[in-house]
Amino acid sequence: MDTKEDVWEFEKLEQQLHSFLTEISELSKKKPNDALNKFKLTFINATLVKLNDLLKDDRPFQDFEIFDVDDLPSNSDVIVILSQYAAATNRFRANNTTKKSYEWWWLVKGKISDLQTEDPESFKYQPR
Amino acid sequence: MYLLSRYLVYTSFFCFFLLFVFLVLKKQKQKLNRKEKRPRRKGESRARTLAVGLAYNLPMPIVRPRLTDYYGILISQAEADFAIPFLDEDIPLYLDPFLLWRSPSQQDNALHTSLINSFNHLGYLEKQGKHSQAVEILTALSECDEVGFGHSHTREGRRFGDATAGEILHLFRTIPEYDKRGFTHFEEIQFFVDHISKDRISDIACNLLKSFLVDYTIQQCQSYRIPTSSLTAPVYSYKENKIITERGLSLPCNPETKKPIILVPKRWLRFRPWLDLNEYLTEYFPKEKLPSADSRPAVLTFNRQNYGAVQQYVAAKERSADDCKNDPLFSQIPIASARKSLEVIKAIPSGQKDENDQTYERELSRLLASAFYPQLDFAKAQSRTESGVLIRDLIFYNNRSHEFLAELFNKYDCRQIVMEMKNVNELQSEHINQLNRYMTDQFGKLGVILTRRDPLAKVFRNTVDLWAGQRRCILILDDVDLEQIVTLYDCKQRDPIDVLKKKYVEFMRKCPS
Repeated sequence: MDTKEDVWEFEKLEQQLHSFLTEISELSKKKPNDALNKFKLTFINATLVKLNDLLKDDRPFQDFEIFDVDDLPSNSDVIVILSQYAAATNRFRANNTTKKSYEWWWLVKGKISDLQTEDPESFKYQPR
Repeated sequence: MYLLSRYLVYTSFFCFFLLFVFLVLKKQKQKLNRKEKRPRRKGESRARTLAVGLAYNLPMPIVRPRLTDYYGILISQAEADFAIPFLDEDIPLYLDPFLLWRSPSQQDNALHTSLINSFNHLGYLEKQGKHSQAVEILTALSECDEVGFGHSHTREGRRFGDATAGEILHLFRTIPEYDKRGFTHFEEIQFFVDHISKDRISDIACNLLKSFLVDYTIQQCQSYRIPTSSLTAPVYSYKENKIITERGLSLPCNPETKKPIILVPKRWLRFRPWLDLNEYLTEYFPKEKLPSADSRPAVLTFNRQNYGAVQQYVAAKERSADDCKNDPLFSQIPIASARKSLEVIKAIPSGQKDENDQTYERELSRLLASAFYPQLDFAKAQSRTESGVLIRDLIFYNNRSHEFLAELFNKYDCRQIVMEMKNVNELQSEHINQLNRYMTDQFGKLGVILTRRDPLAKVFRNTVDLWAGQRRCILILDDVDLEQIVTLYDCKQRDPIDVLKKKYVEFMRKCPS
């Protein structure tokens, strides 16, 4: 993480990603082959663009950036990719946090910051 | 001397000005002539020859031309308030006067009242002893070519004869209710007089409402910028109770016949009138009172002598008037039917054995016509023979109602989209070439092949080469794509037309940049 703002941005995007995963998982359980509409894809793509900026080389796939609306991605396609992003964000969190005096702290520019957080294990995406 | 020189200067200026105006006008005339100079092809109607050509200055015929396509107006049937008329043939719908009667609109109710008053005036003339005058008016009212409703392939129908007109007028004398109070629903005449069908009812109603319809047409033409000409048409005058010839009406013109075209609101149209003789015969007619109920003349005679039977039917239909709705010009098949069609298609073996190809084409036609609606209006399923092989196509109008369709129009000059159906196990390069040869000036440079399986790499390569060499685009859709179309048709999250776009995007990715 380069700045404190990056930490705040990351925490927001991580929550959005988990919400999308939960919502689309519900859709996918009923109709995995249905195409996702353009409205939902636009917001998912917006989240992915910002996550790509933060994750940089920690992105799950180097040749995937966002969903192409014209490719008609199905619910299950979206779940596959978002799950990979959930795993990547969790790895990223683990790499950018450290435990000191029984508490977890964010690392900014490789140094311990005054931004406290929780154990990365508690941020792992748990499917319902 | 000074005055003379001034006079000469002014005269020469004036002459130059006249010469300039003359040259400009001549050039304009040449330009207009050039537009119409394309020779007509063998067996081709003039409308087809000129269709689009006039609007775009392109020598390009289109299949089953509609008024809007002819003038390059970007409007789909779903958007238009009126039924878009064909130039070559009739629309198989009819104006149902009952829809005006049951309409919540005061304007429609008032028009129905004026329609009935006009019709009852014929009874008044009959009772006043002006039989020949009434017959003349009624005969003239019996056909309305300007609206183009019915099943004619020429947009022209025949009027009924004096004898039928006489029979209708006779009802004002023979049936006491009509003698006393006239008609409330003039379509009741079909229950008493033979050879009066739904198209006659529709035509009489259109003629009696023509003055309003002319105004409506002018208004619609102005809002959609449909070109009009100054034309002459017979119009029933509500004030004078006779048919008068109105000149200088600003109406669209049929390029083939040069006759005026009149537009009718969609909300007044049905496939069958709400008061329908066939329904009356099957469900309401008291068959126990007439043993020979199968004979239509006997039934009509019975009705004339037992008006109560008809009255009961009309009263029942008036009670259920809330169920009377206009019929859409095109109705999509239900999702369950689309799924069923897909199952049938997937179960059909490839090839021509047991007429498998015909079943494939039939199911595909009904499925795609619904799936691509309303972005693409279905024009026609047509057959052609090439090298002794029967080929069936689906033709769609490209209204550019979707950004992707606008792109196809701009890039490939695609005014109509042709989809060729191939129920074959393996698509061959010859199939690609067949469609390519067909994609002349009619359909622009884009075509679609609907087949059973993903094409072999070499066949697909052929389409890429065609694009690279001639900038012609041939998209191939197989059963998997069809399944996705049906999935989208079902889930409503995306438009089925997006599958076509997806194939196009995939194709473009394979093409050399």
